[in-house]
Amino acid sequence: MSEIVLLVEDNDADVLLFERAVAGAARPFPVRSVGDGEDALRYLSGAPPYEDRSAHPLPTLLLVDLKLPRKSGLEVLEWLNGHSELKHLPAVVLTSSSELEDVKTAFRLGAKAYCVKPIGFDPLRALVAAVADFLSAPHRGPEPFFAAHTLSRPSL
Amino acid sequence: MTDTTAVPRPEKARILIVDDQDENLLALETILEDLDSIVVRAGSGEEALKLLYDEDFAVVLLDVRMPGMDGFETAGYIRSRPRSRHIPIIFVTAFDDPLERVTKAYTIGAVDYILKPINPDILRSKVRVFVELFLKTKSLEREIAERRRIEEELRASNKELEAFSYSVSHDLRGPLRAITGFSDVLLKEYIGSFPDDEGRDFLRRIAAGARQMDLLIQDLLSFSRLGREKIVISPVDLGLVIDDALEHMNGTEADIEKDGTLPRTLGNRTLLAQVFSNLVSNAVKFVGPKTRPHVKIRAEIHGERIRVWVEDNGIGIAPEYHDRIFRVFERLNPGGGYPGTGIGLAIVRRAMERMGGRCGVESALGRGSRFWIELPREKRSSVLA
Repeated sequence: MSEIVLLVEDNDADVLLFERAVAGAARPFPVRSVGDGEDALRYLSGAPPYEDRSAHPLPTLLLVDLKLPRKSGLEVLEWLNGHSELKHLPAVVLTSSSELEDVKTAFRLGAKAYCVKPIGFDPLRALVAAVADFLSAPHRGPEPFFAAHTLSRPSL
Repeated sequence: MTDTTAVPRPEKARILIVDDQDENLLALETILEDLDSIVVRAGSGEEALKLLYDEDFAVVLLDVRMPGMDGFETAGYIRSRPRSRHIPIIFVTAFDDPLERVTKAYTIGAVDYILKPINPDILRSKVRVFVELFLKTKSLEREIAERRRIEEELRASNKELEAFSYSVSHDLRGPLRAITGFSDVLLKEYIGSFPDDEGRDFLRRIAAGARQMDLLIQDLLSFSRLGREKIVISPVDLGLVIDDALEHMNGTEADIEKDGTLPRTLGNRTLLAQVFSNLVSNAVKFVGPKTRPHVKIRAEIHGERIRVWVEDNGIGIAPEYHDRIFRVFERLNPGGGYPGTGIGLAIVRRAMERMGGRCGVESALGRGSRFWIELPREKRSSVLA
């Protein structure tokens, strides 16, 4: 399977739970994770230690937390906007903040969906199933698959 | 901006008297003695300007005829400086001065004049007006500075509150996700490895406790957000909002009945959806054992306002608690029987207040409850409709 997800998440427990939910999913998919915003940029731009694209392929979907060490998720979104070669890489926010300011800024910076990290394993599995569905039809974009999980785009 | 709080404030007003003759100054001083002010002498226009350079005065009494810089010239300088531009000037002029001089005094910016020989009562009462004006202005300035300081403090503490609820929503939830997530996995996949029911029961309690804490955090956040976020009021279709709120309750074992035609109102869509979702979930939740919840939503028009009722066949609320249930953390039923956080109705009340509306309840024990909310009516649309 060539479709992979890059999870940008600094909380080990969240990474472990996500991977556990993926492992138990009907259609598991490969997940790479990085623990801060700067590491995410290194991965995406193929900077060391991620220069080998066969070992570190470009993801089909970016799942990005907002509050991250070094560079925030919003900064990662902003960086993506300045890199036209990555403009087709969809980014979905997966964070625990549901502050209106964050939601607004994330959508303004091009996030395709804004998911609040679920509490409990079943809702997490439902979210992972949505990721799997999207990966099976990435050309449709993430919006339809995350519709049930995302906060709505605030009117500005 | 100058910080007026940092400047030591004089308790008394200062009066500047300017005359080249010592005996005139003495006379003025004596007349003004009763005004409970500080009288400052200047023997010439130059000296007066020097004093005005760094001191505030309530009023200046300025002799017109002085050698060197005369009263008019001095007044011209006083008016030309930003700091002293607004200080009231009373010219002291001789009885035999021609009328043009008096006219000239006014064009230069005198607010009044007084003739020599001076009538002490007239002078005192003229000066008193300016002393009082000065003191009042000072006290107003102090009040404004104080208000500014309070506003600044309020802004700072609001900011702090925002930072706090941000960290509540973000940081406190991390550990909760770990507790619920991992205990769920344990319950699902490792339940067989527990040797007895007690272990399993404890695990379930851990998971349920964490979920309850999550609900509490969510409700507290909504409640605190209601206090600080800007709320936009616009015409709202009540029927649509209620449908929205009911959709989130799909799967609830209850009969929910809604008036076919609900009027339009003025409010905030998001807040109203939350209000109805809280009211309906309460109506469904607080029923007696083996009772199928029946909820009825209907609207009444009361003049310029719309009242919407959410009526249930639940356990009811004794009248003495009707006010208390709208406060934060007030619960009438122990946690075991009916789940909840005790914040839901506080959210309803605060949301209604933020939209310029009201809410209340009519109920008695064992006879169901009828909660109501009231909002201004949207008139334009009712004409169109």
